Amino acid sequence: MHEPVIERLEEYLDGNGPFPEVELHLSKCADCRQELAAMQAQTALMRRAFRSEAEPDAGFYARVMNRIETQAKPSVWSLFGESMFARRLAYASATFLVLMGVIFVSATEPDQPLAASDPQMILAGEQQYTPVSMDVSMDMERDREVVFTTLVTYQEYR
Amino acid sequence: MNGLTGVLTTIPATSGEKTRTKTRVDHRTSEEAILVRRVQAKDEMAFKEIVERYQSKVFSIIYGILRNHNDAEDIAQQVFAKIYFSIGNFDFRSSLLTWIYKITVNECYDYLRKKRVRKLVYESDFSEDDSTMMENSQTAMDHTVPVDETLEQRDLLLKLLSKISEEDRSLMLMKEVEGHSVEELAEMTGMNENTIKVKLFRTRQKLVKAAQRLGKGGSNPFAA
Repeated sequence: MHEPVIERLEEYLDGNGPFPEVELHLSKCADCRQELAAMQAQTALMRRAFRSEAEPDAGFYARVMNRIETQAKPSVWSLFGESMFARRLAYASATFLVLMGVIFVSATEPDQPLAASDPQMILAGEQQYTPVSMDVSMDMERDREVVFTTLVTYQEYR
Repeated sequence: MNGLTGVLTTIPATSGEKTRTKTRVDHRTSEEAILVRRVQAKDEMAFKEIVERYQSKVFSIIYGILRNHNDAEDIAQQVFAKIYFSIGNFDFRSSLLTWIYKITVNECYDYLRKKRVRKLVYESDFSEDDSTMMENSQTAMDHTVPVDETLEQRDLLLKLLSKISEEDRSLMLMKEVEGHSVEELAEMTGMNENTIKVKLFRTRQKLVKAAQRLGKGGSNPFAA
């Protein structure tokens, strides 16, 4: 579309005029004629299709207020929405979780290898697996050997 | 359109016409602004005044787009609920009516979009046989019932309008449906008249081009 038509387009579409300079240009320019015709058709349809004089039923304000009340009811989650308290609570919770995580990770680190090689511990472990018998005829000699070995190991370890 | 901005911004006020470049309207000091400030201060009576002042306008805009009374009632309620909750963010850059108009048209398009999605979901629940059966019955119906051409064109126009920006859409509808002049639009939006003209021209061009793309063989489906 060319300048003379563009300049007056809105007034032309509103039916104001006449505009001799626009008419003159249109008589010579087929492209402008075609584009303007399409715009006129679209404008006419828009006016015809969307204009209405409808009114809401009586009591509209009351119904609006009902809807506002329904939408304004605070849910449990909305309490945590935007307040400063909610933000502080969120930061505190995040810090607490990080601290708990650090404590948990440090508490579950593997034992020192020294503990596993401690002879006293090894013997104690072996003793745990020795079946305990309440029989009075227990082998006294074997017991004595065990006690002796424990004492010697203890001294060596010290 | 090449050089449109240049064309429109360099046009001096035509002789014998009122001056094109007017002082911007200050929307902060109007009577409407006082009402808005009262609503922002949680004055329910002021909100009631806004509802009563604009309910007919809002309702007829929605009805004009959707053509269904129940839907228009529902969307109009939603528009005023939205106004109630977001009026705190109203910044007085445009008139209250422009702001309300924009919310209203957006709500209509949101509704149409959701309706379309619902329809697609609903249709996807059908088996292939059901779809074929429906298509056949639809074809049969198309032959027996005369198609309302205006309705078809109206739907097409709604579809085309959905492809342009919210601002351009509101501006175009305010001009053509509400019948506001370029001068009034400039006052309402806080833009100057040449900007309004450029925006309207570009929107019209986009709509015509989009319609030509949709029309068979590149013809314009709106051409008389």
